[in-house]
Amino acid sequence: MHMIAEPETPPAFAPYAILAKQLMSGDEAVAWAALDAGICYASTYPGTPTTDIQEFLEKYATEQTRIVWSINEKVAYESALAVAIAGQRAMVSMKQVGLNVAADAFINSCTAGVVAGLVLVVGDDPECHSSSHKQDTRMYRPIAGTMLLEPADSQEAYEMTREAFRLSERFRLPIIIRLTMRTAYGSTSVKRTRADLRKLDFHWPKEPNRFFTIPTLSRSLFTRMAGIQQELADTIAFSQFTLRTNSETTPGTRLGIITTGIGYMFACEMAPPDAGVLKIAGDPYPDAHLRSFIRAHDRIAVLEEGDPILESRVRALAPHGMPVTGRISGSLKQVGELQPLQVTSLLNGSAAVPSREMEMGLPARIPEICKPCGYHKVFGALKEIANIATPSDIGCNTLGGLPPYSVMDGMWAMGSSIGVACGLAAIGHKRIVAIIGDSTFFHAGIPPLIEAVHEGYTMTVLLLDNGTAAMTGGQGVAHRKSKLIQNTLDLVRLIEALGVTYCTPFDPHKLGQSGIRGLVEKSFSDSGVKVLLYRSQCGIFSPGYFTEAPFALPKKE
Amino acid sequence: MTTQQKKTFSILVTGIGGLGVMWMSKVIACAANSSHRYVCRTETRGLSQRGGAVCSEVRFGCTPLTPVTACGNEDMILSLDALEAVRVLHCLRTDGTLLTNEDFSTPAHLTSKWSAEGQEHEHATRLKNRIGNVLNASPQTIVCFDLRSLARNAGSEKMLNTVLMGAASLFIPVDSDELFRVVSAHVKPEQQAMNERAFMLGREAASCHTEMPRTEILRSA
Repeated sequence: MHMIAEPETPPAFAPYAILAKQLMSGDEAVAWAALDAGICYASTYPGTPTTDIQEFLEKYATEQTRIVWSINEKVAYESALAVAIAGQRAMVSMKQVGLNVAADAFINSCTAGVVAGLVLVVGDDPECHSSSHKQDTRMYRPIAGTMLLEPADSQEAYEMTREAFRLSERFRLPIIIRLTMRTAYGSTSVKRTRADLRKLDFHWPKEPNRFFTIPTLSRSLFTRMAGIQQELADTIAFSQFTLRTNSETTPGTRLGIITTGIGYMFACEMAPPDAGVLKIAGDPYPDAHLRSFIRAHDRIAVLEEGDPILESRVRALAPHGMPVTGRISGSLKQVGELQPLQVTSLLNGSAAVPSREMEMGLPARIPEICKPCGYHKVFGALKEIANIATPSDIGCNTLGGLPPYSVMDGMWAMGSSIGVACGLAAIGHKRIVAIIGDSTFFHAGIPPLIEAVHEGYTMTVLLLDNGTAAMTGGQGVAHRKSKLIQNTLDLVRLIEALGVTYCTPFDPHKLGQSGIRGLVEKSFSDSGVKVLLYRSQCGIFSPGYFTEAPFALPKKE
Repeated sequence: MTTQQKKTFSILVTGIGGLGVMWMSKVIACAANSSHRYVCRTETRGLSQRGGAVCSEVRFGCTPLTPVTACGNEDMILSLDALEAVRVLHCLRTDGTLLTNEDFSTPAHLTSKWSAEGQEHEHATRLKNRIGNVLNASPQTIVCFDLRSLARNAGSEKMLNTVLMGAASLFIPVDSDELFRVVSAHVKPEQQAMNERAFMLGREAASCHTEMPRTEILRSA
């Protein structure tokens, strides 16, 4: 028995606020949709372009909704999953590369599914404004066998998120909302609708025959998954977010535009008046629907943000000889965001208008390390040391790879600095300095450090602890005081517990550039894993953190 | 395409991190939201907090719009930094308007911190001349303001963005009273008077430029 109660109504939930249209970003719209859907839990790991969702949730949520900055995306996903299995609505958000970290949990959770609504919001960055990879989240959709909805503007981001909770409960599947940079950060007018009733209790099901996915169970669950794929496609086809206008019978070739997500806004603004438009709400793309639209036109243009996934489907369905234009055809640039000039020339069949961009060679503004930051001393020191290998990691330390320091050899993924150092140590490199920040270390740096110790590798790890995830805007990390618990983790004791016997904390401002250089060079003379633990505040996001001296520094050095 | 573009208006706001680019675009979008059927605003962020360039775009009209304007179709550019104005000048229509700060900040790698001693001044001068040449040679209406001293007159150098908002209020097809109201609503209460003063100073500074042919505008600014 669930108790049903009216949601607590803070001022913003009042009817007048719901009726008023408000300009909000896609991220804010998703946050409001989740609150209006009555979520009980929301988790994330920060990353552009979805960080704002959690920041808005923190701002607007009542105490009944637990808002968590997780240690990494996998834990964020798993914790939200548990809440949804226990019968309460939950949302988890992450950037596209974050889904790679959560993918194991996400893909495996789709077979047994959920009880209450679980919505996974993923932010793609096809132009790599703020990401190292352009990957398209729609690629995960067929592996997981679930449904993905892709909003075109903030109003749809709101409505689709609300709908995603309902669909998640109907199909017992986690549903993906795919935002792209422009839908996440673009603001359009949003009208909210009445909040859902919210359950106040939970029920953890004791149903191993559903959730304990040993191979025999998995096989039967996959049969169910295969069985509902058509129903998912039909749901997309008849969704209120799927729209179709046919081209009028005009002499000459009839142009049909097939689009999804933000591509629809391009169609709205740039389509010739006599063109037909089919807007698809999401993936799985409904074949029958696509086929009937294609058949009603002579020429098809596909507008989608990211990889040509919809275009590939359309090409497979189009009759032989039917022109289908988009990224594969070369009419639009193969990678990156849709560009208005290219789309205009594609839709009007005209030659691409050359951009008037002037090659003036203006000096670029290279992102810098903030003036008072201790990183200056660290990277200055590394620049003075010859013959070292410096695998680096995600976060503010990447700025050390840019001028004037340029001391980083490479950057791969979260925690990769130490993993890469392991391989290099295995083949005998003697002067390795792996550079990693505190938040990244907690996220994915601990397992490779254990491996390094276990395999007896020789390497120096520069662990740069500034007490915050600075690059993404200063979110809390495991050892920083949060709302609930203060100073939960002692880095020195953690590192020593992993079997590292050489752990030297240092204050970059006291030690200075030459002192740090000496420290790094001295570390090369010993074999084994050496951790040099930088401890200094981030002046913007964690001022005063280290002056509070959360833990007594060990006596070494 | 041309008929559609008449119904819409696109503004690009640019500058560097911390000057208030996002604030300006937010204010314009909010003010436009009350009078136009469709408003959209986008931002390009990323590493702006670390001294990078920041751009934000506002578009409004009566039909749904893409969040980005086709290159060369921007109706107006508002710039808090002259170097950034030149960087995005190719986005402006040939009959468009650029309102810009005449001052600019020299990119860090050209300052004494990175380059050889004594070269900083040389870099800055060369850059200044180049910016001047580009602005002088371009066909659009260009108005340069000494935003810093106008802001100082209003009470604080931080009022840079509000001064430019005031100047822009004469050119943007949004009710300027509404713009003024939204500006006041989007600042801290204790800074309201200062912002209102800054807005009016900017408006005054721009008022003598609205009717002038563009060459004169350049000379007087």
